[in-house]
Amino acid sequence: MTARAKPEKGIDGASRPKIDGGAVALTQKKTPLLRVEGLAKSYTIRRGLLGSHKELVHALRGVTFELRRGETLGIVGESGSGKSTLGKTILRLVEPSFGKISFDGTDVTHLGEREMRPVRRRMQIVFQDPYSSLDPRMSVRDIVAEGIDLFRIARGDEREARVKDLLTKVGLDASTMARYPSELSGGQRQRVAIARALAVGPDLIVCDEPTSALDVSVQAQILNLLADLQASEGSAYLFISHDLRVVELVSHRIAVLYAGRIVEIGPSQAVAERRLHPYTRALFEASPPPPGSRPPERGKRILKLAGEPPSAAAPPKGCAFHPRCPKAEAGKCDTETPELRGLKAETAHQVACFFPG
Amino acid sequence: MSSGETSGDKRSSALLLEVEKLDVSVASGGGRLPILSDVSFGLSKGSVVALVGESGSGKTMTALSLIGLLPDGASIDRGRVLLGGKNLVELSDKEMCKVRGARIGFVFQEPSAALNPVHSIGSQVLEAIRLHADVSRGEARKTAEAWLAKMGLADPGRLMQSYPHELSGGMKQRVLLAIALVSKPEILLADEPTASLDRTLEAEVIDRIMIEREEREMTVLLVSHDLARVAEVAERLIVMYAGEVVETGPTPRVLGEPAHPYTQGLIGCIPDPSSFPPREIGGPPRKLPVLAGAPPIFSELPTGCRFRPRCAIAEDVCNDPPPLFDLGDGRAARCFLARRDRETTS
Repeated sequence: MTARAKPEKGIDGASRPKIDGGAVALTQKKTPLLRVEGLAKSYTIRRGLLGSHKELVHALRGVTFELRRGETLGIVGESGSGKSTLGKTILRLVEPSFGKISFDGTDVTHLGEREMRPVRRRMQIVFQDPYSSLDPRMSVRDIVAEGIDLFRIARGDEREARVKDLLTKVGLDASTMARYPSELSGGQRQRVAIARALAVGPDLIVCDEPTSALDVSVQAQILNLLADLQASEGSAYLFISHDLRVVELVSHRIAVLYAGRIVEIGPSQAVAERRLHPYTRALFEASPPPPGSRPPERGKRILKLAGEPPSAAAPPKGCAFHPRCPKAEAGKCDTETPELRGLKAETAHQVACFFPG
Repeated sequence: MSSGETSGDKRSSALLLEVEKLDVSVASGGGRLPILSDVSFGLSKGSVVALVGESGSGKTMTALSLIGLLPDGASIDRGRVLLGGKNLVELSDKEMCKVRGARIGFVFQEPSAALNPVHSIGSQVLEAIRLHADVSRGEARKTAEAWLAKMGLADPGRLMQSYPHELSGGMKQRVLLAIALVSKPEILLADEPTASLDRTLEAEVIDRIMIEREEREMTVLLVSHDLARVAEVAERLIVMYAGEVVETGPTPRVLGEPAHPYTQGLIGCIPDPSSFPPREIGGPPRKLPVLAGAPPIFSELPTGCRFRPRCAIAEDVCNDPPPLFDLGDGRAARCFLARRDRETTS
């Protein structure tokens, strides 16, 4: 079912370059769309007067997961957990320090800019802030057609027709084409950003906090749009957000990121119900319950997060969460790093904690 | 005035702050646009009330009107803001300065913009303390450190020496909260105090406000677009739409049986993952109930009910502007149909 998702795309050119050529049909069934292994990213930042003091910051510290075609994997975590770096590293907008990124069975970690081009066409990104992610000097027409022009997908009347089709798809009037970002509301801008991403018929869209800057009613419209587009286009989403309820709603699976590591990953319902990692539990308890529900936890959080999120320059030894964890045991959690593993023989739902559940 | 029209709060004798029929307009291209119309509500002493609405609903303008900080070009055309019986609207700038900060403390959304980047945290907290109380430098320093510690900030002594850019957003917001609270105001006005923060830090900031409120019966007005978050702590909700109060009432009642179609729509938009079956790849998309359309712009307000163009149940009667109807039980809604429903059921 997932393999046939592509041909239905009306906006996609027939002559899409496939990475694996003839082997595509076979690999599509078996290999995941995206496979990330041991991904790490460190930066050097300068601090102090005139940047005299250098510091190494570890944004990602060995992240491993797979994403299937048409699947949404939610990435949730606090600011500084590495979630945005993860999205950008996968797209190679940021170069990884270690680890491997495989896209549709091909190792793309070290591909040069030219070899990366056909891959780029299949991966797109939608950013959080639709005010800064759209060039204010470009018309909506040219913004949406950016990918169409870059990959020489269409010209002239056909280009115009595609832009019109894309705008309709994201729920905007065709007349929006002639307008500029400053004339649009936040929700309309985010629709334009989504149309721009869709223009090249991507298999993967990284959604980096796509609704965090929007009002709830506009957020609902955009989430519905992304849901509809996934159903019609078959794209997989890497959906990054600090809002657990939104992530739980849109995702098939959730990965919880803390200090650059995945501390829990599994089907969204299982993660939401079992909350195996104490950090996952704290995140859920910090999220306001939907007004319709009346869970027992309303108003009384059992596990409050004390202290600040860890510094990416000097993450705590052992389990990075141990200084804030009520379950942490001295001599264990502050010295050994827990591996991500399933409880008993389970593989779908994994947790990196010595005392899960 | 019709007898059915009310602020929705009957305990007016116990009200610490009362906003009465406030109209605010802004200058726009030679004319004036009405950005707040007939805004009325009351805060009883020690209560926690949330003013909820989306961008452009007028919730921030309402908050700014209370402390005399409306932006240039905006002015109060009608109405009163009564604090302990005194009308704040009539106060001079100088008199208002004594109320602002001292009796009504406030924190706003953007913590980076509210702190002065060239002054240390310590000097900014000390300034707030010495502005309101005649104390020695040493005493002020002790007080400042105590307040920072109370906000859950580690190592206050060192923090005093730091500068705003060295702090995270969550730390800055707690410093600002300390600055707002040092004068022990009777009312705390918090406008989106957590909008730029993660959920965990957001919970922490809200907790600190609630602890302070418990300790000395401080009255709290939370201004927010996040209904789910404020509903956890607010006893009463005031819902605004297009510059008007459209619904007020006790939180559980408003959430459980919202009277105004806008409130109903707003609640429906909030993601509730537990209301969906398990998600499967290629399975049906999870769709939220949606409020179609967008709020009106103030230069093109619809006649009659301002929500009418987006309302699924609007009738002919909605072409007239509805007043805020008293629905009993401390509830009120600006909707003809909500009132009619109550009449037929009771």
